Amino acid sequence: MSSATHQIDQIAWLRDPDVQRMLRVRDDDEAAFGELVEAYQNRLIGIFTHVLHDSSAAEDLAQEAFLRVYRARHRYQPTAKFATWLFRIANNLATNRLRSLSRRKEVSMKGSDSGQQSLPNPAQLAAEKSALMPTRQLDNQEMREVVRQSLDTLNDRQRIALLLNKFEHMSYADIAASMDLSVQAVKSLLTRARENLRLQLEPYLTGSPERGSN
Amino acid sequence: MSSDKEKEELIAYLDGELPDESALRVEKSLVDDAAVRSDVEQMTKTFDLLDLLPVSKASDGFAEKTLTAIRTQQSVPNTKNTEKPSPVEKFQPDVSRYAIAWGIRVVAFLGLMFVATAGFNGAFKQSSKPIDELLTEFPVIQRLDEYQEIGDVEFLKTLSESGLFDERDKAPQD
Repeated sequence: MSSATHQIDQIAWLRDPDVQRMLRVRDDDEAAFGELVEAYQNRLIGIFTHVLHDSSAAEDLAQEAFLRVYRARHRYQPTAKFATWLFRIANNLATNRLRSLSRRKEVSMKGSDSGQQSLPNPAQLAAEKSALMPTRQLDNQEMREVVRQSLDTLNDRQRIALLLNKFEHMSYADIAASMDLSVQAVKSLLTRARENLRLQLEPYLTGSPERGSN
Repeated sequence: MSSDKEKEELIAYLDGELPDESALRVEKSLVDDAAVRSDVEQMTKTFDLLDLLPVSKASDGFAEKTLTAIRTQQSVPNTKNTEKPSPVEKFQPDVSRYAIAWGIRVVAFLGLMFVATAGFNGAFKQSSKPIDELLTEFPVIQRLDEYQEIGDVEFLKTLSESGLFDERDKAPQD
């Protein structure tokens, strides 16, 4: 990166209001830190909840992320958007937690290389409710469960990349910075994640093959 | 069905991550190819289904609890963390690092003491050698002046073989 490009980026980052808040935190402004917590707590907890399926653990991890931000405050240098830095910390925490859970076998993480597992047969699911009930009329709660299960069929990195892409609206470059990956690697991850998601959920969009016409 | 590369391009197009030239190419294929349009439609719909996932919110008082935790940590600066520190952060010193530093100093000191002791013993042994040699050769040293008068051992042998000083064999003269 040329020095001029770097300077332009730095100016862009300095325009980030959260970077400005963090610079105040660097100067031990506790109120500024409180503002950052308020701004990001739901976002962090949301990502952690989708990853860990445990709201209590998600809050613990979110708090740990904020504590790390605060402990590092005196050495903070605005080299990226604040959210990118924060979610990089979050990604590290989530990855470490998933690794330790996997070792303790408290959560069954069965991600394969393609990150794909099978879901209950959509035709069977519809038949359990009513033989005449079209799949597309699954209520929101059922669809929510189907979507949650399909998200679980992704491997950890695919899931985290997808969540950052979907709910944080992060660019590929920001996701790459948060996950310590190349942009191309993020592209591949998201492609596999969304393709797997499509394969899992498509039957619920088109309906069961056995469904009769209305 | 699109190839993996084509799917990658489609998804990047949907995410607004394609450069203009590539985006134009994708748009053309969307116009020309029904299969591509179907793929895009399915990917968009399934991606949008993620909106059904529940939205998690922080519990009441989360922010205050976090600030309290920070204040607690500030009053006990060496509080141990259970999670592995992130490589993104530059770590502040903690108890374990002080312990390691002091441990290294103690080990270095003990090592220095060992080397110094070994060196002293070695030096002592070296210096005791000449004394031992002197003690062994003391009888010679006692008569060194006489031996120096004699000269060499060969001369002594010659004198002994000559019999000049052999008094036992000589008969006493009347």
